Amino acid sequence: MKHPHELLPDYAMGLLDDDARERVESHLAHCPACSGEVRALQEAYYALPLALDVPASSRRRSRGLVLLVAAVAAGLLLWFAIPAYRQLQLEARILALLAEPGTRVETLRAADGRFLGRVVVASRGEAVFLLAAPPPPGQVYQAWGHTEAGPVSLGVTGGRILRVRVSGFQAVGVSLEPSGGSPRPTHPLGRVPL
Amino acid sequence: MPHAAPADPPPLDDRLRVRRALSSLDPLERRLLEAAFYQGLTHRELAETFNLPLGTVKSKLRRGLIKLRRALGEP
Repeated sequence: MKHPHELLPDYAMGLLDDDARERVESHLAHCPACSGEVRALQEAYYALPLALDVPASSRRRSRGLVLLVAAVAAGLLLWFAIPAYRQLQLEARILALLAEPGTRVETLRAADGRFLGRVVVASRGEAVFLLAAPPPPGQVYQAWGHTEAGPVSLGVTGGRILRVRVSGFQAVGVSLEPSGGSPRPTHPLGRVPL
Repeated sequence: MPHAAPADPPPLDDRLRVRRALSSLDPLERRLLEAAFYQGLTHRELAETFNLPLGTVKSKLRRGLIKLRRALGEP
Protein backbone atom coordinates (compact mmCIF):
# COMPACT_ATOMS: atom_id res chain seq x y z
CA MET A 1 0.00 0.00 0.00
CA LYS A 2 1.37 3.40 -0.91
CA HIS A 3 1.19 6.07 1.78
CA PRO A 4 -2.54 6.58 2.52
CA HIS A 5 -2.11 10.34 3.08
CA GLU A 6 -5.69 11.17 2.15
CA LEU A 7 -7.06 8.74 4.77
CA LEU A 8 -4.94 9.87 7.71
CA PRO A 9 -7.08 12.84 8.85
CA ASP A 10 -10.23 10.71 8.87
CA TYR A 11 -8.32 7.96 10.65
CA ALA A 12 -7.12 10.43 13.29
CA MET A 13 -10.72 11.57 13.86
CA GLY A 14 -12.02 7.99 14.04
CA LEU A 15 -14.22 8.46 10.97
CA LEU A 16 -13.09 5.58 8.76
CA ASP A 17 -15.15 2.44 8.23
CA ASP A 18 -13.66 -0.83 9.49
CA ASP A 19 -12.12 -1.85 6.15
CA ALA A 20 -10.33 1.44 5.58
CA ARG A 21 -9.26 1.61 9.22
CA GLU A 22 -7.69 -1.84 9.06
CA ARG A 23 -5.88 -0.95 5.84
CA VAL A 24 -4.48 2.22 7.43
CA GLU A 25 -3.47 0.37 10.59
CA SER A 26 -1.58 -2.32 8.70
CA HIS A 27 0.29 0.47 6.88
CA LEU A 28 0.99 2.41 10.09
CA ALA A 29 2.51 -0.70 11.66
CA HIS A 30 5.53 -0.38 9.37
CA CYS A 31 5.52 3.32 8.37
CA PRO A 32 7.01 5.70 10.97
CA ALA A 33 6.35 8.74 8.73
CA CYS A 34 2.60 8.12 8.52
CA SER A 35 2.48 7.15 12.21
CA GLY A 36 4.08 10.48 13.06
CA GLU A 37 1.57 12.31 10.89
CA VAL A 38 -1.34 10.51 12.61
CA ARG A 39 0.09 11.44 15.99
CA ALA A 40 0.32 15.11 14.98
CA LEU A 41 -3.22 15.07 13.57
CA GLN A 42 -4.58 13.49 16.75
CA GLU A 43 -2.77 16.03 18.90
CA ALA A 44 -4.36 18.80 16.84
CA TYR A 45 -7.83 17.22 17.04
CA TYR A 46 -7.57 16.68 20.78
CA ALA A 47 -6.39 20.24 21.26
CA LEU A 48 -9.91 21.47 20.44
CA PRO A 49 -11.06 21.65 24.10
CA LEU A 50 -8.15 23.99 24.82
CA ALA A 51 -9.84 26.65 22.71
CA LEU A 52 -13.05 26.60 24.74
CA ASP A 53 -13.61 29.64 26.84
CA VAL A 54 -16.39 31.77 28.19
CA PRO A 55 -16.34 35.47 27.23
CA ALA A 56 -14.96 37.60 30.07
CA SER A 57 -18.25 39.49 30.44
CA SER A 58 -20.42 36.39 30.81
CA ARG A 59 -17.81 34.68 32.96
CA ARG A 60 -18.51 36.98 35.87
CA ARG A 61 -22.26 36.66 35.53
CA SER A 62 -22.29 32.91 35.11
CA ARG A 63 -19.69 32.24 37.77
CA GLY A 64 -22.19 31.61 40.57
CA LEU A 65 -24.26 29.32 38.40
CA VAL A 66 -21.19 27.44 37.22
CA LEU A 67 -20.09 26.91 40.81
CA LEU A 68 -23.56 25.77 41.83
CA VAL A 69 -23.79 23.35 38.92
CA ALA A 70 -20.28 22.11 39.63
CA ALA A 71 -21.05 21.59 43.31
CA VAL A 72 -24.25 19.67 42.55
CA ALA A 73 -22.49 17.60 39.90
CA ALA A 74 -19.59 16.84 42.23
CA GLY A 75 -21.97 15.83 44.99
CA LEU A 76 -24.24 13.64 42.92
CA LEU A 77 -21.72 12.07 40.61
CA LEU A 78 -18.57 10.89 42.28
CA TRP A 79 -17.31 9.55 39.01
CA PHE A 80 -18.90 8.28 35.85
CA ALA A 81 -18.12 7.68 32.23
CA ILE A 82 -19.91 9.84 29.71
CA PRO A 83 -21.22 7.58 26.95
CA ALA A 84 -19.55 8.16 23.56
CA TYR A 85 -21.77 10.22 21.24
CA ARG A 86 -23.34 12.12 24.12
CA GLN A 87 -20.64 14.64 24.44
CA LEU A 88 -22.55 17.91 24.45
CA GLN A 89 -22.58 17.71 28.23
CA LEU A 90 -18.87 17.14 28.05
CA GLU A 91 -18.31 20.38 26.16
CA ALA A 92 -20.31 22.25 28.80
CA ARG A 93 -18.41 20.48 31.57
CA ILE A 94 -14.96 21.19 30.16
CA LEU A 95 -16.00 24.77 29.58
CA ALA A 96 -17.04 25.03 33.21
CA LEU A 97 -13.75 23.48 34.34
CA LEU A 98 -11.67 25.79 32.15
CA ALA A 99 -13.49 28.79 33.59
CA GLU A 100 -12.20 27.82 37.03
CA PRO A 101 -8.87 29.25 38.15
CA GLY A 102 -6.10 26.67 38.29
CA THR A 103 -7.53 24.25 35.72
CA ARG A 104 -4.84 22.87 33.44
CA VAL A 105 -4.71 20.57 30.45
CA GLU A 106 -2.05 17.87 30.52
CA THR A 107 -0.94 15.66 27.66
CA LEU A 108 -1.08 11.93 28.25
CA ARG A 109 1.74 10.01 26.57
CA ALA A 110 2.89 6.41 26.51
CA ALA A 111 6.43 5.58 27.65
CA ASP A 112 7.54 5.65 23.99
CA GLY A 113 6.17 9.18 23.56
CA ARG A 114 3.07 8.10 21.63
CA PHE A 115 0.19 10.54 22.08
CA LEU A 116 -2.64 8.93 24.08
CA GLY A 117 -4.91 11.87 24.75
CA ARG A 118 -5.34 14.74 27.16
CA VAL A 119 -6.43 15.18 30.73
CA VAL A 120 -8.25 18.31 31.87
CA VAL A 121 -7.42 18.67 35.57
CA ALA A 122 -9.34 21.11 37.75
CA SER A 123 -7.69 22.34 40.93
CA ARG A 124 -10.86 21.34 42.80
CA GLY A 125 -10.07 17.70 42.16
CA GLU A 126 -11.98 16.70 39.07
CA ALA A 127 -10.38 15.40 35.90
CA VAL A 128 -11.64 14.49 32.45
CA PHE A 129 -9.64 12.03 30.35
CA LEU A 130 -10.01 12.55 26.59
CA LEU A 131 -8.49 9.52 24.91
CA ALA A 132 -7.44 9.62 21.26
CA ALA A 133 -8.99 6.29 20.27
CA PRO A 134 -11.63 3.96 21.70
CA PRO A 135 -10.24 0.85 23.45
CA PRO A 136 -9.89 -2.32 21.36
CA PRO A 137 -13.00 -4.56 21.36
CA GLY A 138 -13.49 -6.42 24.65
CA GLN A 139 -11.26 -3.99 26.54
CA VAL A 140 -11.84 -0.82 28.54
CA TYR A 141 -9.83 2.16 29.69
CA GLN A 142 -9.46 2.29 33.46
CA ALA A 143 -8.38 5.44 35.29
CA TRP A 144 -6.16 5.23 38.38
CA GLY A 145 -5.22 7.57 41.17
CA HIS A 146 -1.66 6.95 42.31
CA THR A 147 -0.71 7.17 45.98
CA GLU A 148 2.32 6.00 47.92
CA ALA A 149 0.27 2.97 48.92
CA GLY A 150 -0.41 2.08 45.29
CA PRO A 151 -3.00 2.72 42.60
CA VAL A 152 -6.71 3.24 43.34
CA SER A 153 -9.27 2.55 40.61
CA LEU A 154 -11.25 5.65 39.60
CA GLY A 155 -13.54 4.17 36.97
CA VAL A 156 -13.68 2.48 33.57
CA THR A 157 -15.02 3.34 30.15
CA GLY A 158 -15.47 1.50 26.87
CA GLY A 159 -15.42 4.88 25.12
CA ARG A 160 -12.93 7.71 24.82
CA ILE A 161 -14.05 9.90 27.70
CA LEU A 162 -13.69 9.32 31.42
CA ARG A 163 -14.56 11.80 34.11
CA VAL A 164 -13.14 11.15 37.58
CA ARG A 165 -12.53 12.62 41.04
CA VAL A 166 -8.82 13.00 41.68
CA SER A 167 -8.40 14.42 45.20
CA GLY A 168 -5.44 13.30 47.25
CA PHE A 169 -3.39 11.58 44.54
CA GLN A 170 0.17 12.24 43.41
CA ALA A 171 -0.67 11.33 39.81
CA VAL A 172 -3.51 10.03 37.69
CA GLY A 173 -3.07 7.50 34.95
CA VAL A 174 -4.93 5.29 32.57
CA SER A 175 -4.52 1.63 31.66
CA LEU A 176 -6.04 -0.82 29.21
CA GLU A 177 -7.93 -3.62 30.94
CA PRO A 178 -10.25 -6.52 30.13
CA SER A 179 -13.91 -5.56 30.02
CA GLY A 180 -15.15 -4.71 33.53
CA GLY A 181 -11.78 -3.44 34.74
CA SER A 182 -9.11 -4.93 37.01
CA PRO A 183 -8.25 -4.58 40.72
CA ARG A 184 -4.79 -3.33 39.70
CA PRO A 185 -3.49 -1.92 36.42
CA THR A 186 -2.33 -4.78 34.16
CA HIS A 187 -1.49 -2.78 31.02
CA PRO A 188 -0.65 0.78 32.09
CA LEU A 189 -0.60 3.32 29.26
CA GLY A 190 0.48 6.58 30.83
CA ARG A 191 0.03 9.02 33.69
CA VAL A 192 0.26 12.69 34.53
CA PRO A 193 1.43 14.20 37.85
CA LEU A 194 -1.06 16.22 39.90
CA MET B 1 4.53 2.03 34.90
CA PRO B 2 5.63 4.47 32.19
CA HIS B 3 7.23 7.70 33.34
CA ALA B 4 5.11 10.81 33.44
CA ALA B 5 5.39 13.04 30.40
CA PRO B 6 7.35 16.26 30.89
CA ALA B 7 5.18 19.15 32.01
CA ASP B 8 3.31 21.04 29.28
CA PRO B 9 3.81 24.75 28.76
CA PRO B 10 1.55 26.88 30.97
CA PRO B 11 -2.08 26.13 30.08
CA LEU B 12 -2.93 29.72 29.22
CA ASP B 13 -0.24 29.81 26.52
CA ASP B 14 -1.47 26.49 25.23
CA ARG B 15 -5.03 27.71 25.04
CA LEU B 16 -3.98 30.92 23.30
CA ARG B 17 -1.94 28.91 20.80
CA VAL B 18 -4.89 26.65 19.95
CA ARG B 19 -7.27 29.58 19.66
CA ARG B 20 -4.89 31.30 17.26
CA ALA B 21 -4.50 28.13 15.25
CA LEU B 22 -8.27 27.71 15.02
CA SER B 23 -8.60 31.22 13.67
CA SER B 24 -6.79 30.03 10.52
CA LEU B 25 -9.77 27.77 9.73
CA ASP B 26 -12.86 28.98 7.96
CA PRO B 27 -15.91 29.06 10.25
CA LEU B 28 -17.58 26.03 8.65
CA GLU B 29 -14.44 23.92 8.94
CA ARG B 30 -14.26 24.81 12.61
CA ARG B 31 -17.92 24.09 13.30
CA LEU B 32 -17.70 20.71 11.54
CA LEU B 33 -14.58 19.75 13.49
CA GLU B 34 -16.20 20.72 16.78
CA ALA B 35 -19.40 18.82 15.99
CA ALA B 36 -17.38 15.73 15.05
CA PHE B 37 -15.30 16.02 18.22
CA TYR B 38 -17.91 16.86 20.84
CA GLN B 39 -20.92 15.07 19.45
CA GLY B 40 -19.14 12.16 17.82
CA LEU B 41 -21.14 12.60 14.61
CA THR B 42 -20.24 10.58 11.50
CA HIS B 43 -19.78 12.15 8.04
CA ARG B 44 -23.36 11.25 7.15
CA GLU B 45 -24.79 12.68 10.38
CA LEU B 46 -22.77 15.86 9.93
CA ALA B 47 -24.08 16.19 6.36
CA GLU B 48 -27.66 15.93 7.66
CA THR B 49 -27.10 18.24 10.62
CA PHE B 50 -25.42 20.94 8.53
CA ASN B 51 -27.54 20.29 5.45
CA LEU B 52 -24.46 19.91 3.26
CA PRO B 53 -23.41 17.41 0.58
CA LEU B 54 -21.47 14.46 2.00
CA GLY B 55 -18.43 15.29 -0.17
CA THR B 56 -18.32 18.84 1.20
CA VAL B 57 -18.42 17.59 4.78
CA LYS B 58 -15.60 15.13 4.12
CA SER B 59 -13.35 17.63 2.38
CA LYS B 60 -14.01 20.48 4.84
CA LEU B 61 -13.33 18.27 7.86
CA ARG B 62 -10.17 16.86 6.36
CA ARG B 63 -8.91 20.29 5.30
CA GLY B 64 -9.84 21.78 8.68
CA LEU B 65 -7.86 19.20 10.62
CA ILE B 66 -4.83 19.51 8.32
CA LYS B 67 -4.89 23.31 8.70
CA LEU B 68 -5.15 23.01 12.47
CA ARG B 69 -2.31 20.52 12.59
CA ARG B 70 -0.10 22.81 10.46
CA ALA B 71 -0.96 25.87 12.50
CA LEU B 72 -0.07 24.04 15.71
CA GLY B 73 3.22 22.91 14.18
CA GLU B 74 5.21 19.78 14.83
CA PRO B 75 4.73 18.31 18.32
